[in-house]
Parts: sequence; C-alpha cells; structure tokens
Amino acid sequence: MVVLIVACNSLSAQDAVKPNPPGIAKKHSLVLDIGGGYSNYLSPLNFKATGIEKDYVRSGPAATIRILWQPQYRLRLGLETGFCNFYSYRLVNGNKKGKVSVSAIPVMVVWSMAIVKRLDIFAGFGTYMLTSKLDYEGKVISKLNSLGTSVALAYKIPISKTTAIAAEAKWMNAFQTKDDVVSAELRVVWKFFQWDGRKGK
Amino acid sequence: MVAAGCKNEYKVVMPDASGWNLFNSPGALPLAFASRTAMEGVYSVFNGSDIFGELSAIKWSYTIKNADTVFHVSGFFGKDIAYFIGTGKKLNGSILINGYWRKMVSTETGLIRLIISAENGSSILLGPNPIVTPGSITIDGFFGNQQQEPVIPITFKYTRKLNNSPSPFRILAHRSGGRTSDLLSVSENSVEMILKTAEFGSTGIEIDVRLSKGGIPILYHDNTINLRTTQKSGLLGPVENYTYEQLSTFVRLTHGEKIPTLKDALETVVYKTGLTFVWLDTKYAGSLAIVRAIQKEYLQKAAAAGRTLQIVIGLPGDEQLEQFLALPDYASAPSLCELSLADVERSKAIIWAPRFTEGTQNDNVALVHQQGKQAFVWTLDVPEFITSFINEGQFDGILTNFPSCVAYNYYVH
Repeated sequence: MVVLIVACNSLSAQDAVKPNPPGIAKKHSLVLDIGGGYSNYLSPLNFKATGIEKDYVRSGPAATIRILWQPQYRLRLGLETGFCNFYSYRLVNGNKKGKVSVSAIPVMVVWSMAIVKRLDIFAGFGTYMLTSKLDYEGKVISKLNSLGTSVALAYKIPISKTTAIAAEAKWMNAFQTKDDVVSAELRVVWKFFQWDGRKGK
Repeated sequence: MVAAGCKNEYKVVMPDASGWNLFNSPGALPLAFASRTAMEGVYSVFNGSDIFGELSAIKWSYTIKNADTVFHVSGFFGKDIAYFIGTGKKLNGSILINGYWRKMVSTETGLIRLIISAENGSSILLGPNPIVTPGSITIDGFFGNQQQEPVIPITFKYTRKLNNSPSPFRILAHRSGGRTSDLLSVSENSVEMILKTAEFGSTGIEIDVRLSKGGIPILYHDNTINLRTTQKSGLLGPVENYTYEQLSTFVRLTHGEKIPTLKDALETVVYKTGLTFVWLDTKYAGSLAIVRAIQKEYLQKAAAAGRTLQIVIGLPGDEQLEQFLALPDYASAPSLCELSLADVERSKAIIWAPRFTEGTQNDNVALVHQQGKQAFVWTLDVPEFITSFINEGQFDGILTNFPSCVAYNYYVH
C-alpha cells in the first residue's frame, strides 16, 4: 500500500494538481462526504461444529461518513466513520435455533488525494468498533475494538461548484479479528465551508 | 498496516505415521508392561546426533481411549527442543517403534521408525524379567522429513536409568500441554490436550479456570474470545458474557475442540490419564467456592479410583487470595500461592510458586522445604534457563510450555 500511495503521489503531481498562480489566495475547504451501499464479507468463516447446521449471510448494508480538510495541496486529511454489516448466520442445533451477527462502526483517521482528475484514493487507519449479537437460549450483545485500516477509490462527477456525486469501492480490514470486507457505495460530496489560505509567492 | 501485511503464518503439518506395513502386520502385538518399563532410560544418540543432540531420555506414558489403554513411547532430545512420540509392538522377536518427531523451535517434523532386534537387546526386553545394563540395548532405525519415507539413519544405545531425584519432580504443562501458538496438533486448555500432554513428558498440568455466565467453571486462558484460541464464530468479548450452553454450541477452540468445563477436564485427568498433579490457575476474581467444591469432589474420586493425584487451587493475585481466605475450609484446601512467603503462610498453601525471573532463590526454597511445603517455578521456556534451574535450583516442579525440554533435562540430570 505504501508503494501505491507513493505511485499515486507521483501521478497526482504530474496530472492532478495545478498550483495557483503567484499572488492568488489558496483556498481551504471542509468537505462532507456521505454515502451508502452494499458490502460483502471476504474472510473465511471456519467455525466447524459437528452436527450443527449453519447458514451464513456475507453481504449487507454499508454506509460511510467523512469530514475532510481539503487544502490546496495534494493530501487531504479527515475523519471517517459509518457502519458495516460484516456477516451473520443462523444455526440449527437439534431442535434449537440461534442467530449471530457481527457489525462494525469504523472510527478512522483518513487521508485522501486525487490520483488523476476525478479519481480519488482514500486510506484510513483507526479502529473498528465491533458489535456481536447472539440470540440463542438468551440474548447477548458484546463489543470489541479491533485496530484496522481501509482503502477506497472514488470516481467523482461534479454537479455544482460545491457538490459532486461519486461511486466508491472500499476495502476494510480489521486486524485483530481478521475481518476483510469490500463495499460499493454511492456518495454525495459537499464542500460546505471554504476559506482563504495564505497568499502564494 | 505494513507490519500486519508481512506477518508470517506458520503451520506444522503433522506426518501420518500409519503407513509402515511391518508395524501394521497382523503378527505385530502390544508390548508387555515389563518390556516397556525396562526400555526406559537415557540413551546415547549416534547417527542423527547432529540433528537431535547426543542424548535422549526415552519414557513411556499412557492414556485411556474408549476403555482401551494406549501406550506411547517418547524420546526427549537436548537439541532444539526435539522429541519423538510413537507406539511400540513386538514382531518375530523384535521390537518396533513407529511415530513422528518434531522440533519445537521450528516447524520441522517427520516420521520415525525404529527397531530393536533380538541381537540388539529385544531378547532381554521381551524376556520375563528384563534387566538392562549399559550398552545392552541398541535401537536402530530411520527418520525422514515431513511425510517423506524415513531414510536417514538414527541409532540409540542405552547408557543409564532415568534420573529420578528429586522425587516426585513435577513436569507441569502450561495450559494443559502447551500454547496453541506453539503449533501443537491440539488446542491449549482442551480435553484433547490433557489426553496428549504426557506424551510430551508432562507429569501434571496447569489449567486456566474462568466462570461462564451462570457460574460454571470452564477452561479458557484469555480475557476475551479471540482468534488466537478459537475459530471465528462471531462471538466476541469476555467468555463470562456467555452461558456454557452458548459457548458449547458456538465456540470451538483452534483445532475444533469444545471449551471444556472444569469437571470435563478433571474427569479426564482422573479416569483417562496417569497425570499426578493439577494446578487450577484461577483467572477470575469472584468466589472460589464452586472451584473448591469441584476440587474436593475430584480428589475424592481420584482416591476412590486408587489414583495418586494432587489438585491445587492457584492463587496468582491478591484478589484470588482474599477469595480463597473467605472459604470456610481454606486451611484444608490444597493450594498453591504465587505471592510472597508471608502469603504462603497466611493461605496455608502447600506450594509456593514464584516467577522464574526471581532466579533460583535457593535460600527461600530451602525455607519452604523446612516448612514441609514444596516450591515450583513458572513459566520456564528457554532451554538454557530450564537446564540452569534443574542443575542449580532446588525446585520441586517446573511449569513450562515445553515439557519435553524439562523432561529431557530432568531425566538426563
């Protein structure tokens, strides 16, 4: 991933960012980036129990909210959260039935930059706040935080000076619990606050 | 992120030793008790000493499976925490040993096939009253790598009896046999590991006790359900969040075993193994009354079964000590205290168990011995430290993740 970021940085330097002409104020923006879609759980689910039938569901809704500080430089910095259904399964053990579901709320520091015009990459690092819900001979809700990362690619189409829509593909990885998830989301990107930075030379 | 991506996942694929036709032939019969015990001893290793070291301590153990007693022969080596484990039979006047070897410092393993011919000592071992003298038994054979046919020669020659001083010396297996992370073929704190641990040289076990929701004592080490110890089940957080019914249905240990109850574990120890010591490491801070009741029940069962077995309640911290002192019969409950000598006295513990980082502490150990108590040390895994504690220390037992290494050092001492 480090190689990818370096490569993207180089591409961006050549293709994406044109410095402001001398004497022109550099704009800073705060961007709200919000969207939702569908996720698919990739990691193996290897819980093996003789005589117990299980029916796994690996896909479910996903949503992401980001707030990014967008200076007139290549890298943008922000915070990301959202929601993702990782997986669930129903279980039949003789005449008893149960259900388990695992979902996550990511809380990440996220970096973003344009690779080429309209195509942005996002890389996040932080924690996944996991929630496990068990319904079998009683209900149990347990929570666990797992360090993790995310990488996303978004293609943006501007629809006004401050607003764009985007399609995004994202990969999420929680280290401790070895969860890998991909998602596809439709997004709205809104530059909701702007201010002037220092003057260029 | 990069570090996580570069992490290696090591795996040991245990070789399948069932393919030796000679060993499987219908004429191959089990060995008698006298043959097995006479074979035990310290052997010099000739061919193969560059791989395994110059000495091996060979010892038999047993477990009971489906009402049948299964005997295993183990050879403990001095190099790279290597060992072999096999089974033995007699055929046409020879003794055959068939099994696998493993090095705990790596993922190296393979098959091993050994023969004691009539001229090399099987006539002595298979006789009515075998008396073994130095040089009277030579074990010849071959070992191989992974599942390859064994073709590398190895030779053992009997040199002396196994050391047995001090006696009893407790070779205590951490988490019932060794950590799951040591790539053993069964999971830590499982009934399956308890059945296997004597093959690694253990004479006793340490097991980790927690309470499920509802108060059933179970064996589990970590604070939370995680992928180090269990398969991915979707259940997260402390085991104490879940009832035993829920854990038993949804959670499988790394190699597919169920989390056992303390009663499952002790039932196995008493009726299916020859283990002589159990250290209940209490990992929770609540009342110890249920653990004490189970301890008492299984000490009675062991006595009724004619077993010599000690079961002690471990006191690793102040919270457990206070809970233990709150028991009405704490003074008569066998316990092991990891705290100060004053706390050993206060709790009436029969064993003091300091951490190895404090050194051999020979003066304190002598003091404990004077009071008629024993001293164990935990958790010793580095071979040089194990050698040093056995050669220079006075402890009565060592807790370790590598019981085969302690067994080697003790028996060849």
